[in-house]
Amino acid sequence: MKSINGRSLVFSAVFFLIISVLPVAMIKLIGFLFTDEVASVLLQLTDSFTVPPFAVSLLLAAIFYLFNAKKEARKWQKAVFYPVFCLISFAVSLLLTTVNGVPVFVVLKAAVEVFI
Amino acid sequence: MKKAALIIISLVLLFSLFSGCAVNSGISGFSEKGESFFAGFGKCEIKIPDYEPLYIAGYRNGYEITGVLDPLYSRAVALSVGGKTIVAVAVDCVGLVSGTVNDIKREMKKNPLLSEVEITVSATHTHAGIDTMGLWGKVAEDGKSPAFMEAVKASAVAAAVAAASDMREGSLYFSKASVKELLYDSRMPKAYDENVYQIRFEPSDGVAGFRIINLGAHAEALRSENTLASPDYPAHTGKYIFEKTGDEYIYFAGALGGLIYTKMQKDANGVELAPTENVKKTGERIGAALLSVTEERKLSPTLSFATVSVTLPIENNTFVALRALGVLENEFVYNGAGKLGVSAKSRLSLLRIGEVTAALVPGELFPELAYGLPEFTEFYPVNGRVKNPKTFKEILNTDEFLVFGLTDDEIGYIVPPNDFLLHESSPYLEEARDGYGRNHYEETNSLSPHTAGLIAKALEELAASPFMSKRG
Repeated sequence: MKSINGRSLVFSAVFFLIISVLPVAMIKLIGFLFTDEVASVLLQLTDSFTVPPFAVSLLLAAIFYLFNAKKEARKWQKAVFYPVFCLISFAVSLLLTTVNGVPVFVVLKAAVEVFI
Repeated sequence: MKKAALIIISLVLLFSLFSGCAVNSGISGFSEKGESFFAGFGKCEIKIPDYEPLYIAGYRNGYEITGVLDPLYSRAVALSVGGKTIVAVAVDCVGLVSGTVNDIKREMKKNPLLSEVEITVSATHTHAGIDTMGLWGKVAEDGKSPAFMEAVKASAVAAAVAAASDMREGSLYFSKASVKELLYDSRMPKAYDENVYQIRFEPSDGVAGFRIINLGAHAEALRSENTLASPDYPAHTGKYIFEKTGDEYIYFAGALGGLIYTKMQKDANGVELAPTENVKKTGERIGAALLSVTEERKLSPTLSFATVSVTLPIENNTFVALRALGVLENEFVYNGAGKLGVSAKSRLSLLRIGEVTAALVPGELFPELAYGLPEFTEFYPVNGRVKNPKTFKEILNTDEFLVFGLTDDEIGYIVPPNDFLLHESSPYLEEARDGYGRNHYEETNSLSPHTAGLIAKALEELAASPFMSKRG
């Protein structure tokens, strides 16, 4: 069994924090622009640590770690893989993030039904 | 390292999969037989704050109240047989969604008097009440006043505690009276229960008791232009009965969907009364009908209760949007059901007091789903090939039963699937008009066409449960 790659672990932890907190922060920021209630926005940030978004973010961070720890990966692979992976991870996390208990993708689905 | 990572990934996947699943809890309840009934009554006025905008619920957005015509109350009855107790609460408001009901129940359970009893919380569905669902504030804004919601919760708890503290031995009597001439059904088919029901408690100590009143009609005798808070006609029915007998009352709205309400009352010259007079006369006529009853049936001292959690798919985009905006506080689960994948987690219960059964339904049930259509009714539903679920009458195998609507949740109208029609381009936003020229307003305030079938299925399970099949 190989030893843990400390550098990759730190990267993965940062990656996890970004994809689990940033989408919620974004949504809350949009809410903030409309509601003007700072306290409520800060309180609702805790929504980010609900499952399944939390679990999925953790899973993506684990995959991120596995790829990052592979030292033999070529430069072009890293250059293409990481941006795409990060973007997909962020999108997945954003769609799973809940707004008052309703996942964003459900809200989008409902909106699509109405407008398209 | 790879193995460890794989194990972690598998665990995380399993966790994430199961965390999204909705698990229906099983049926719970009790069935008891005793020597006599013990019952109690409690009520508590809902304090209306005077420093926040308060919206009249039931008609249109942003319509503020300007005063109080009659005080709003939470009322509760506690019924007990053989040591098993149920406390049923009715709040003078348009509806209480599951999130609010669960908050109220949690508070109640903290009280030692209520910690071991079954509790149900209903709304009287007054359309002269204050917004308790959030739907009648300014458009897309939460119309609930936090201070008023706290007052509602506190009064419901206080009424339940008062009822549980007031237990006295006595007898229960069941009766009904026709109020057919007072009722009107605004949507085809013309099908509704023409009776008002009462279960009268007569304490053995000779003091005044209380009456459980049940009628399937919207409490909107004050009509849509009213800006004064009131429980509507049930308050005047109760007042009339109290003045004549000293009995208190609790009112449960019946199967009133699609859309049953009371007709405008007229004076001696045939002129319609003003709404504030209409509400009084309507209430008094219902009270008089109840007091005119000559035949009462004494109920055997048995008490059965069965309750089950139901998950009902939500296909109404507006409901989802309002939930996301934090306006509606119904309990939601993501379980992949229906077109949008989300469901409302609600509750259905059956209560049998002596020989009388009541179905406790979480919304506004169309009467035809409960009683079927009257004989010789000519009606062409829009989905003629779709079969409606079994009626409550068929499931409960009796002609005489009660429906306590808007209990433990308000999920909107429960519409028969064979007449469920959505607007083609704006489903759930605009009301559809069918080929017969009939409007389908109620569908815009419903979860989906699947609700009626799921409710009927859950009712069958409750009726077949050991709590109900076993006679006390």
